[in-house]
Amino acid sequence: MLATAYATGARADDYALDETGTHPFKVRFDPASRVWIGSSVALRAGPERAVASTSRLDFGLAYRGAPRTSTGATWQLDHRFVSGFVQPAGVPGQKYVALDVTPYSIDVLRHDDSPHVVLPLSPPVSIPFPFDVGFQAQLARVVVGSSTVFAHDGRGLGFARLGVVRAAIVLDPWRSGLPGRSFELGFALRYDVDAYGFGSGPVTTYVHRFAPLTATSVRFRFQSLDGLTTLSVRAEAAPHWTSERRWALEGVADARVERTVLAIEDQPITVGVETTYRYAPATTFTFAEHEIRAVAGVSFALDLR
Amino acid sequence: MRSALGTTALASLGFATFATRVARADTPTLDWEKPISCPFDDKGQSLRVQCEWTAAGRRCLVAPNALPSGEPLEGVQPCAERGIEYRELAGPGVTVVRALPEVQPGYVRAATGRPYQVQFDLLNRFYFGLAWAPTFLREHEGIDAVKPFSRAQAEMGMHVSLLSPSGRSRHDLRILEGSVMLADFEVQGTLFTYDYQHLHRRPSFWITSFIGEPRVYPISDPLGWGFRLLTLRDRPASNRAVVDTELGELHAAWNPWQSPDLYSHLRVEGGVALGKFWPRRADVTKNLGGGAWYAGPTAAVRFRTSLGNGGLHYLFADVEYARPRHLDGPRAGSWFNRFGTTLAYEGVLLAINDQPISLRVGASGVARDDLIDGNSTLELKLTTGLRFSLWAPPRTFEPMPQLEDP
Repeated sequence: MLATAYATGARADDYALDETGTHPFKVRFDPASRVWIGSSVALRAGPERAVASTSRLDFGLAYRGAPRTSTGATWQLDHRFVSGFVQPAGVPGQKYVALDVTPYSIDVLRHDDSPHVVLPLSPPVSIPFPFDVGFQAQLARVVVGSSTVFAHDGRGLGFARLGVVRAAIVLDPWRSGLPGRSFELGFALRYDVDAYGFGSGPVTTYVHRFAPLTATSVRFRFQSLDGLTTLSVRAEAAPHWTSERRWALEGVADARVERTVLAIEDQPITVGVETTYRYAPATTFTFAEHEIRAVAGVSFALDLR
Repeated sequence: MRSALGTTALASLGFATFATRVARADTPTLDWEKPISCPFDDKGQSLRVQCEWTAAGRRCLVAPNALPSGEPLEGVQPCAERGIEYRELAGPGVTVVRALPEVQPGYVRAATGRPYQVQFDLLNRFYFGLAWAPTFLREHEGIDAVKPFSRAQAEMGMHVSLLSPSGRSRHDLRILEGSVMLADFEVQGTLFTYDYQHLHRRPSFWITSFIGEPRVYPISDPLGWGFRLLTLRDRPASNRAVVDTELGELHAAWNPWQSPDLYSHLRVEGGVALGKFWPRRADVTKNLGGGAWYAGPTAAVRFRTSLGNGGLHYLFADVEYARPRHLDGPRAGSWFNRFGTTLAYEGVLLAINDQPISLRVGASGVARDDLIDGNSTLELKLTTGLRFSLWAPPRTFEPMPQLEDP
């Protein structure tokens, strides 16, 4: 069993022995390298001031690479493929089911034990630079809203968004050097296309939103050494230019904690709780919205390490 | 002196062995599982010899190697190439004992020396039978002019039950099993059924808990699974005009009790089934694509046991429940119930050329909602009949290994 464990990329100290001392079982996991599918319940409070509950199907594939360079720097590459959720129950007044799916995203963080900035003078000058650097990218995120947006004329409009691209530069002053642990300050470029009236009527109005590195974010991530517990707290404020020829502000804040509670044949089962606050800006024909969402669920995962 | 006595003992052997009745319990029999030598005596007649070492010395069982008529013995093991020489039987320290030739497990030898089968495995056979089947409906509906006591049924089927000692598991197959009522031609049958059960000692899987200190728990429940293909019910009790087919059924099973060789068991099943029915029989021949579909969960509790190790008496009990839902047709979206229970005893009465004829006595009850109007029908059927089985080899009592192969 231990020989097999080495062959699959896991390490010997990822396993412990049972009471008889004969059967090894996995006690350390990589929560960023797995395929998962799960079910959760979401409670949402929006402009209509009523709390609605819906069930969701969560899924995704993630993989973490951690190559080392010849100079001793460590890269942390977190890939995610086709991750998100779907709400199987339909939304009243909308033709399509609500979902939030991102085909691909990547978080990169480079850790150097002695970070520095080199000024190309003669001779070159090295200045200590107390940050880990990295970048984030997200492509083609598709969101179909789980609630309607209220127009000025009282109509409820369906909502969908295509997050064409999001690319951010991040700086991490914590420089933990450990997988899944960071405190990131990010400056992002974003281009989104919002469709108001999507799936709810004959007319769909599109609003283009562009943030030229003005989307500012703060994210704290923590992962226990055994990979059983993860915590993520993030906030982003995104001043952006719209196709309505004016600036607008969008904001989001979320916190998520996950804990592996069981494993069947060394494949983890996790429970997670997440809360999200979102501020959607007004348009020339819709009101601004505040939305709070709380989600709790269970996921079954297949470890990729 | 001792060798002379040994020679005298040998001389008293011969074909007198078969002059005694087989029922004599004090005459030992050669062991079927141990090697047998076939030396020739001083008169050129072949013997069957099997020796073993005991605390008192070497004990040799000696039996004739031919029938009293001189014809060769049937149902014996092949002789070992290098065996005991005849002169060794007269050697010092050798005790010669008159014995009967070996016979394979499940057989005994008649006074004529011919082996005949006395144990039967009714889980491995092809059978056909005839039974008197008085049937009582709640309102005698659908049987038309046929009186309940005048019903009879013909039945057939093939059972195969394979024990895998290395896997500590058993595979049960039933092929083309069905019955037809001779009075009104009510037909019931299943094309193919498969069931798997195991008695693994290695855990099926492990569960680790991370609540507190990590701890791992082995799970070795005796789980199994199985499926059915194409079950036909023509003229069911609930509506004699309907043709009802269950196209497939798949289930998981749990065996809370099993005999050590998995021959007898108590089994709990849960699964799903998909089927189709035609309200009028003529619709099937005119338009196979017509009819209406249904699907839904199934559950069953099944019990079977062999009473004793002789393979002559069997007890079967089944309780089945299904709750499908109409997927289309006039009753689309509505659920209906099917409940059935069967209790049967089967015992071997006699055998013709080692092929058993068994008496089967049973009772079955069915409660079924009509597929057209949803009304319920209750049916109680009592069966008493004979089954003639082909094949039905003796039961194999092969020891199971301590652990199955990984």
